[in-house]
Amino acid sequence: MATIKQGKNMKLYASIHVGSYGISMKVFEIKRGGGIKIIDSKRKRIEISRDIYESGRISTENFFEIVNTLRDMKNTLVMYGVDSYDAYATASLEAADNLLTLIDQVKILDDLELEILDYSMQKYRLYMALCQDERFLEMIEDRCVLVDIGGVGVQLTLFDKGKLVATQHAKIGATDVWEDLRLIGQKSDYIEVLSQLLYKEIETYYTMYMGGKLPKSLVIINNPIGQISADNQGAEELSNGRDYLKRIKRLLKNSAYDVNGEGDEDISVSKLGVPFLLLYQSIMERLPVEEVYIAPISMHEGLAYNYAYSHKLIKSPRDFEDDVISASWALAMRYDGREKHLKTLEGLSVQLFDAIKKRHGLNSRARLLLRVAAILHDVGKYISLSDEANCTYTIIKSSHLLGVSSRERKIIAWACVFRQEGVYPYENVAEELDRDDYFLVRKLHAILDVAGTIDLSHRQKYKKIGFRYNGTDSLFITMDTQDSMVLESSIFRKKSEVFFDVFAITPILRRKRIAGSD
Amino acid sequence: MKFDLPQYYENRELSWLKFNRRILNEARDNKLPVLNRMKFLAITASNMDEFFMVRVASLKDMVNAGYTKPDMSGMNPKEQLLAISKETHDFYEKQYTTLNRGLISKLKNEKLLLLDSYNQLDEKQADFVDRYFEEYVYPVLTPMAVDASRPFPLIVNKTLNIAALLSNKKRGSRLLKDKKGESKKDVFATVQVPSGLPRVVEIPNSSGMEHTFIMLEQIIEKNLSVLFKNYDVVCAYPYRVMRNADLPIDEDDASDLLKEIEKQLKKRRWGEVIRLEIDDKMDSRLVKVLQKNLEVEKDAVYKCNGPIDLTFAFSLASLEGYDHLRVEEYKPCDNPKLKSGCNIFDEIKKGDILLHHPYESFEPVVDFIRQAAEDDNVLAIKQTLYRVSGNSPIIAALAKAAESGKQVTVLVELKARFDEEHNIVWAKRLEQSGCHVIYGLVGLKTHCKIALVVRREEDGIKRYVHLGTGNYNDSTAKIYTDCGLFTMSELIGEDATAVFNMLSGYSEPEKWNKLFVAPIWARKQFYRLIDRETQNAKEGKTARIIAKMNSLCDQKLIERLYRASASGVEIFLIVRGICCLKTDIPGISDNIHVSSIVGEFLEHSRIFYFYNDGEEEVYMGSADWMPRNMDRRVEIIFPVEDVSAKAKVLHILKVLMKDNLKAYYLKEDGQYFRYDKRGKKTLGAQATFCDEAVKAIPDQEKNYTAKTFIPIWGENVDIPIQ
Repeated sequence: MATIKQGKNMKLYASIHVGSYGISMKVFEIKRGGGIKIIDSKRKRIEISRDIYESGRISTENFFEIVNTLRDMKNTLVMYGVDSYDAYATASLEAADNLLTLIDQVKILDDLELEILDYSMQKYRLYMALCQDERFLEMIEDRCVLVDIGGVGVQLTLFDKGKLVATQHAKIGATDVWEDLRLIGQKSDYIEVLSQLLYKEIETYYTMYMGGKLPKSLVIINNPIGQISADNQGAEELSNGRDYLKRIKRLLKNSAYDVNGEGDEDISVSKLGVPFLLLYQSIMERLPVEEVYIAPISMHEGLAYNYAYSHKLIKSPRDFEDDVISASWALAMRYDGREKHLKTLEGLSVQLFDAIKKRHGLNSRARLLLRVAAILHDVGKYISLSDEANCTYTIIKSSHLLGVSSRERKIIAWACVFRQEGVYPYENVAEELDRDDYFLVRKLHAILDVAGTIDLSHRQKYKKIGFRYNGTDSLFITMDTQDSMVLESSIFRKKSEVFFDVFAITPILRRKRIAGSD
Repeated sequence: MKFDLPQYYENRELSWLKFNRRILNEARDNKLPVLNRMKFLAITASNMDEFFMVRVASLKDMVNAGYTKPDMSGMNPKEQLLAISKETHDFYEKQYTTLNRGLISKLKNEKLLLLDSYNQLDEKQADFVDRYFEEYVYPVLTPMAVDASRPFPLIVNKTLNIAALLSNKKRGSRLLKDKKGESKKDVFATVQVPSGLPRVVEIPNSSGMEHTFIMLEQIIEKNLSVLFKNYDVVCAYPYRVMRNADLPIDEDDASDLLKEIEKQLKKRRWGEVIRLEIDDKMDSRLVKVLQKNLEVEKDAVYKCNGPIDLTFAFSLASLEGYDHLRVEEYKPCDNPKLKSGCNIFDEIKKGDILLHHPYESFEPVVDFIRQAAEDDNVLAIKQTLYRVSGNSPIIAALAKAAESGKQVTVLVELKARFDEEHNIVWAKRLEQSGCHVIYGLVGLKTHCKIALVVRREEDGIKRYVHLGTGNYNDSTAKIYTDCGLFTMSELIGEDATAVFNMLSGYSEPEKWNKLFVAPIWARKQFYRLIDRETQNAKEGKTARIIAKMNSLCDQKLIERLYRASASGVEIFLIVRGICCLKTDIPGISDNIHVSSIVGEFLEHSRIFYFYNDGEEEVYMGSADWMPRNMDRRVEIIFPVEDVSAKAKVLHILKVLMKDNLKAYYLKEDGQYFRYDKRGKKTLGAQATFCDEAVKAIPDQEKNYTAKTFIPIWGENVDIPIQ
């Protein structure tokens, strides 16, 4: 019998995710222009985060459980003959001393490449999947907070009028709460005490990032009730905020009985579920909303959509670059950025980038990072004029920009530092950047520097500006201006050397002569 | 209103004994050919053996452990044992009356003679018997005498033995001492009747007979003096012991389940003796020796007025050349949708296919796996196996698939009672051929019958699923009535994948699209379906439940049925075996009717119907309404939604409910009765299904008997255009 080949218009993709609480795998069938269908799904509970919390490493028992589980999952991928797959370990596992050993052993024993997925990218992938959800897109047209509680932290992302406003990551994950529970769990009012503590944390977010304005709805990813209680059949995806809070409280109440095995069998909660419930309770009490939507997506859908978008199988319904830019603007504005200058710089940088496209060898992602760097290049000024570079670096590195990985944030931060303090030799940054990233930083910095010099006075002196690359060694920048350009021209010569060092192109600043002027 | 009072429930053991009585009734049914009656008699005996080994043994364990909690009918273990003993003694009597007064003389009328005793042999026959003994029997016998230096030997479970008293002037058994401690004259000896030789031996014919038989133990008894040459045989009688076979397997402690079961099998022969069957004429001295040494109470001694272990009747029932003394053997027909040689996947693509065995052949199920094994586009085959036949074609196909590089996952349930040893062999064979074998789940028996084939097709991955009510056993599929469904429903396919992921320990299903899976979910779903009918009845709507199963003894489900009945739901139950529900209790179960069909085929399918205010729902599956199925086994109940498949199941239920030939009906006094058929048109469900299956095959495929031939003309032939 002839073997049937799957059409070019269909791909099989699989994702494996080693999370804090277990390993999961999904196999997807992706049809060009069509939808994504799950054709297999496996999940194994392994409490890795507890191991890490207790001993700082993955226990031997769980180590081999992970290896064996991954082998089974790898076999499943082979069985389906998937076109591509990704296997990721969640970033929180980096806290385990023996994670690299695990990755190595998984490679040797299972022939599986396990990578660590950066926390921000993890969230970004989830967000990508979420953007396929019409209800979510509808909800973010109004003020809406996206909530994701993980083992090591809570991420809250505020949307307003369809735009991403702010993402903040608070380091109060379920594992921390679980540890607190162990410390005070014997007290009769432990739930109340912990709730107050968590409430305060959420209060800070509310005041700092939400400008005191309550959201209308909450969107929850990684359905907590489904994961932690046996009652996961027929759970409503959309519920009234008050009802949902009541339900969480009821589950929490039941968790007390669970210890004695007397809980209502329908809604018994696993011990590890309590921290999740406490966190959700605190969030919902501080941010009382009209609607709660439990989005039926996971990390896997995010990875699958990322694969589908990048292989042009499915068109993204949303411009994710827009989200990154809008979050960058929100961050810049928090630190009193001068909008006009930043916009000018962003525009000039992009024009410059596009003008030398044939020579810089950078992709569209680098173009996005350049835009973010332009918008955030001087955020540190808000904190300190004398230590601007350091403050800018710190702010960028520690702010969560949905859709930008921590590696990318580092690249942006260093480009901004170089802009303030000049280029550092590689040895000085080798701990943070590898050679490729270092060179990317230098390229971004060179563009940013030249663009910045054009608007050195922050007064947008020109009416029009043109960039023309001659195809060999010169880039002509022609400005249509009547103002004096003495300052810019003098600095420009110095900056053009830096630019030449990186691209072997000399930028030449020219002024368009206007009749009657000198 | 209370629905859980003990008087509303029948004891499950007594209900089972009633079921065995219904089978015995078949052996007593004059209208049935004699060899079929012999088979039914043998079935009652083999059933009884299992009942003792499992149920009686378990009750004995309870009594030994001091457990006194009453069952749902209010009887504690001791009371149950007492009632069982009374009933089974009576049953034994009836079995032997059936044999002696009915069957043996019926056989004789057909010129088939079974000699009672070696005393009835004529000279020629006696010579033959002695020669037979010398040539075949003597070499394999191990006679064992008991005295001071030779302790009482181990009598192996379920073996037939001969106990003898030997006169001995010099030596005496320590077991046969008188009050003064002096040896008596007689010696006790025992010899096992070899199980490797035929139990029924054909000998030269008595005059006027076509075949004459004698029991093997009679041949040995006749020649006992040859075994004990220095003794006189005072008397000799056969006996048989039954030991406790209900072995608890401590799975939590067993690091390797397989080894644990192998170990337990070795232990089985050492179990406590729970029944001693003896010849009713056995010398009282022999009875005493046996009772004392085997530690058997008087109640546990069963006197047999004829050959012990009536399973010997199976061999007579299958006697060659006597088909006229048997119901004509039914040959399963092809399902009209699955002609032989068809591509089964193409057919399933056209729509769900429902198979009704044994009326329809089981071959498509074997073909499903066989074709999958040979199909290059098949990526994986996953299947559960509970009891498979010897030399199973399914096992062969699975092994072949694994050898050709397909991913084959098989769950072989090692804990299938009495099949453990058999299953270990197959499991090992499958593993050697490269299958991924799961040896069951800790704490649960995997009883569901499901096979999944994952196939790569042009428009994506497709899943073909077979779900059944019976085992993947091509032999029993010819005698058990079961249903199976082939489907490529995406929703069921997703569920099937989830089931196998769950069985391999890699999934915690968050939702089921269509399947009810036990444990955890199935019980709740049944509650929901029953309660929905109750609610509809309360609202004045028509409400009806029809359920067919092998056994009904789950108190919580019965309670719900009572509640439904009390609310006005019309309930019809077709329960082959145990039924702990009582009918006609005023205000409790007035609306419940129970029937039980005992016929040529063993009723085995489980079908559940709910009227649902006109939106009828039909389910089938592997589970009975028993606590073990709901709580301690992995079971699957699946909906039948395809219009034609559903219509077929509804028809099956309709015919089963109309049966007035083979169906018994449960009366308010707990007894079963058959309708008086005089002057009425009779309808036997099994016979009806046989007829219908034959009629469903297009004429040209039936065995050709017509004398006119129909030519095929050119204009009727489609010639493919090149």
